[in-house]
Amino acid sequence: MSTADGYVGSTTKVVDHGPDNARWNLVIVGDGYQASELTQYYTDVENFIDELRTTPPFDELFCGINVYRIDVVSNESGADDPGCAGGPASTAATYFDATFCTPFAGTPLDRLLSIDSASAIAVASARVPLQHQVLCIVNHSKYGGSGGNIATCSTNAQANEIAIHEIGHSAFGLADEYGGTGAGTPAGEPSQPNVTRDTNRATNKWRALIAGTTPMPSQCNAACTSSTCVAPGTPPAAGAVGTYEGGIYSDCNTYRPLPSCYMRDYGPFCPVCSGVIRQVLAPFQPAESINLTTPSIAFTNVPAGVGGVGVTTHRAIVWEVVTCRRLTFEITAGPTGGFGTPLGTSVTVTADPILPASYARIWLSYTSTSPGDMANGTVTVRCVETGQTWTINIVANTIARPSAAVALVLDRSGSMTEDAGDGVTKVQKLREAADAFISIMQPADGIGLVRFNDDAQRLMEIQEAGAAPGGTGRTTALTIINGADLTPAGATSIGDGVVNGKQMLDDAQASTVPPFDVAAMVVITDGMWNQPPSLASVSSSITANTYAVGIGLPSNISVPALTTLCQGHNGFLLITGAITTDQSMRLSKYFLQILAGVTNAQVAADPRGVLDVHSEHRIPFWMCEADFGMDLIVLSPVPHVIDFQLEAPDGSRITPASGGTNSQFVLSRYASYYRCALPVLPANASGSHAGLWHAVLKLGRSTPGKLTHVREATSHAAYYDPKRAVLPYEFIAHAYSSLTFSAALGQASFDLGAPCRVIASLREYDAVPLGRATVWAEVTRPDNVVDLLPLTHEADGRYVASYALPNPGVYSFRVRARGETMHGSHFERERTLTATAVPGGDRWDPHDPPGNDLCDLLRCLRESGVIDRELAERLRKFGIDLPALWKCLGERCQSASSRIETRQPQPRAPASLAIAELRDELLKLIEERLHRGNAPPE
Amino acid sequence: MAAHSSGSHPRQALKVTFSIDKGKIQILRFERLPMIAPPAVGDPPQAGKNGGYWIELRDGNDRVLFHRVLHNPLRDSVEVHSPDGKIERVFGDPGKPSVFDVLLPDDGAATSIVVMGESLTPVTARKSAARAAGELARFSVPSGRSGNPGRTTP
Ligand SMILES: [Zn+2]
Ligand SMILES: [Zn+2]
Repeated sequence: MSTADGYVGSTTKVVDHGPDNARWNLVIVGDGYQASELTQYYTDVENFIDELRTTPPFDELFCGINVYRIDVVSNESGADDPGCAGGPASTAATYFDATFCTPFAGTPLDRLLSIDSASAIAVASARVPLQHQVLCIVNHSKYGGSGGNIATCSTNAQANEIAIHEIGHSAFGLADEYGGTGAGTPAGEPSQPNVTRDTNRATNKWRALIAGTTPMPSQCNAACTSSTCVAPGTPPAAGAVGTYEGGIYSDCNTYRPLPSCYMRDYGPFCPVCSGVIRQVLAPFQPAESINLTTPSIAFTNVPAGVGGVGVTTHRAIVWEVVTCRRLTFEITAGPTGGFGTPLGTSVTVTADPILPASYARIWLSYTSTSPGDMANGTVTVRCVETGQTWTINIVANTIARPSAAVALVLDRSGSMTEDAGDGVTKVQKLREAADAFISIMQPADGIGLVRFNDDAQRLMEIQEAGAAPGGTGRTTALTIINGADLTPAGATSIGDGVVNGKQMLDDAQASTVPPFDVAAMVVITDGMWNQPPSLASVSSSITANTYAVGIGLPSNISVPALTTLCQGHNGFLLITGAITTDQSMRLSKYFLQILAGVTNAQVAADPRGVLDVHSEHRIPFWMCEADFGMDLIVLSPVPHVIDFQLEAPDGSRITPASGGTNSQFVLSRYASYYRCALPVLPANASGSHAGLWHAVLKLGRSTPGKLTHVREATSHAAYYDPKRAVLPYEFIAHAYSSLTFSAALGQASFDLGAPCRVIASLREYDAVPLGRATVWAEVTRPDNVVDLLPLTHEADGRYVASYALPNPGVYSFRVRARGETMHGSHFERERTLTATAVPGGDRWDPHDPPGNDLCDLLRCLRESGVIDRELAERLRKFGIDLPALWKCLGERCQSASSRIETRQPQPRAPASLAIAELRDELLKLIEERLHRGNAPPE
Repeated sequence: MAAHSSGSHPRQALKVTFSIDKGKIQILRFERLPMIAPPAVGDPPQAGKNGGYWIELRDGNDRVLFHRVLHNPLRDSVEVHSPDGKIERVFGDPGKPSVFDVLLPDDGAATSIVVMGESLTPVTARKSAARAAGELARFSVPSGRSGNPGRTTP
């Protein structure tokens, strides 16, 4: 057993407080760690460093210390234990031959754990030539250790103390402060600084620390029978440095500075020993330096808030500090100009445990007022210990809350008449979702409408939404949405729709003064792009943030093209998949996710439920002090039959009739909502702002009157289950907040098994959050299994994770964050995103859609009214039996579409070739017959 | 005793490796290193008055320039720790040479390295009672970057 039993791996400077030639360098090696146990070794090293760093006086000297870790790997785990105290014997082949029961002067001593110290010093000096002290941690849980040329300890929780005591001897020249029989006690005055025979207060070596009132000697040792010690008349004050009998292996006539010390019993180092350690480490301490890195603080362009409640932003005054002591920075004047100090007016810093410099931060806050307002002021800060002062300028301004112009680009192709999956047509779903979106938009935001099928039309130019309810723009848009302009017919030219949406936004921005702050386009489609222009060709000219919603299965939707369109323009694509009865309002919910994205609202809660006549649902959601406004939304096909109230954290009720400047209740066709500024009840600010809120829902009228609407709900058969007498709803809490959460999915490939990257970001008052947070995603797979995916914190409030998409279909990612704000209140945030995987997904080509051209033609012919009864009759005369042809082609189309829906990989080229040939033949046939048909029949 | 600035402490040290074997002490090797040697603490102990062991750097006039207290240089005892806080020291003959490093400031004025102490015999093997420390050995300060000078003067 020797250095043949392993190898020396890498060396890491785990505490870097500066160059080795100017610091005191501790080197840690391990023994009995196998390669697979290195992670444990790193933890053990960190534990020791923490113990040393938090043991006074090292806590104030640590910035003069570097620590290196050398990864020494042993063939076997643990240490030899010959069992000299009666336990079982065991051996381990380790690099430095660690062993318990080390024999000394012929006697094995059970807890004397030692290693080949010459080898350890050789390894340490080879890797770190400027080492001052070597420590070996032995991977064995039994208590043990030793001193000498190096300090050694096991991983037992208390064994760190052995190492620190032994370093007291070897690095600082301290004597043992415990007594004994006198064997080994030096004659005369001990040369060590912490033990003495001298009880004369005029000559004692630590006399500078002895108070005049402390008796000398301070305490005689009762266990000693042959001492010259004369006991004092009154005992010394507790903790008074004096001369206490017993030390350096003798119970008699030798003295220590205090009853307890690390050099006696692992108690705190006595003031004499602490002083010695300070003196020894003084030359290694870095020169102190303090640099202000933020000579001025700017709160630039902070948006106005909601309902007169401003948006609060935090900025820190920062000093880069190199110091070993505690330095306190305190505000001595200001801040003037109305700025706040949200985290107090002083801060204390110490050395960073690992890095050369640490940072002192005093936070300032600015709360926005009215657009156009400016503020400026100063604050003066002093460092208490050095007396330095700094005066920092502060400037701020408020801008109008960003307004958004939104162009809804809506698919009205023929297929929108199809069942969305739950018995309701896609176009009806679209109407409900767009209705809710438009009804909930902020009054200052703009709305415009574009529809597309074979080509596109601008139905409504961008116009300010206006009051909710009843604003002119809002009312116009709602009328169009629910009218005949969206009646489905024709093909799917997404590209033309996008071109029109883009042009409409550009025109609005050119003509509106001032222009909207944000332009956003929301494209809704159920299909595959199948009419020029291609999305790729129009994408580069778009400047608006672009979002898209695909209604239906990903295999029928131009997913790659739409994803590229959205990801390239700050937006995202959501795919509904088949809509099921239990999630009948999914499309509306996705619209509200997009509304939150457009307006930078935070989604604080997003549950759904089913109400029956007997139930009252209390839906909890959290607001925090960083939130300044909220929209609390209930989606329902019949929102007016739901009695919707709010309960504030202190129990106060807010009802539609409450009124007040800070809350408004709005009832629209498919949604009802409260729009509130926080606190909702200004007279009761603390009870109606941060904390746990509840939305209280039950069937009944939301406006005063009798409960008569339950019957009305029963007429909505698609939503209302008469057998169970239940009504589903969706609840969404949007917060307007200084605590922001955003999430994005990155999908480079749409093929099966390709990884999808989830990136989320948390900001608190526009700065990195100071509170604790957990971020994770609940991934609902196509087979409805839910995977939990934790996101890891990279840096600066950024969280990431990667997830492979193993099965074909739509994956819904509910990315969630939960934690505590810097002021300790609970918050929750979430975003819903979707990802898709399709066999051969990356081979999708917008110029060669895998959709079935023949079926599209068939659908087009059927739905466009091209073939009327008269033509059918004429075709029959030409020998074309139309019903039989429909039947053949219909079967052909059904089998093609079912193949797509079961998502079996299939070779596409031969199939589409056959269909193309068939189509050409058919067209030729019709053309010929029609041509001949122009001549009078024979 | 705030310890927060070093100013310009010399960053040159002389690391000396001693060996004590069968009552004899010698320098096995030395090395000059660009690092800070820990400073002397307290007044220098005095021969004939103090017990224990220490090392001195002396100049050509035999004045003490520097001292460092040595802990247990003979390695004639070991410390046995106990989780209940009671520490015990066991004395005896180690039965093998003691080899240890001492880091001294590389002071150009120093001419000798002097080892002071009670005895080079393990405490349990001493014939006479304990006495105060005296000079045990004296070496010339070696020159060069590193080497193995051997013992110079008794
Ligand atoms: Zn000790
Ligand atoms: Zn002490």
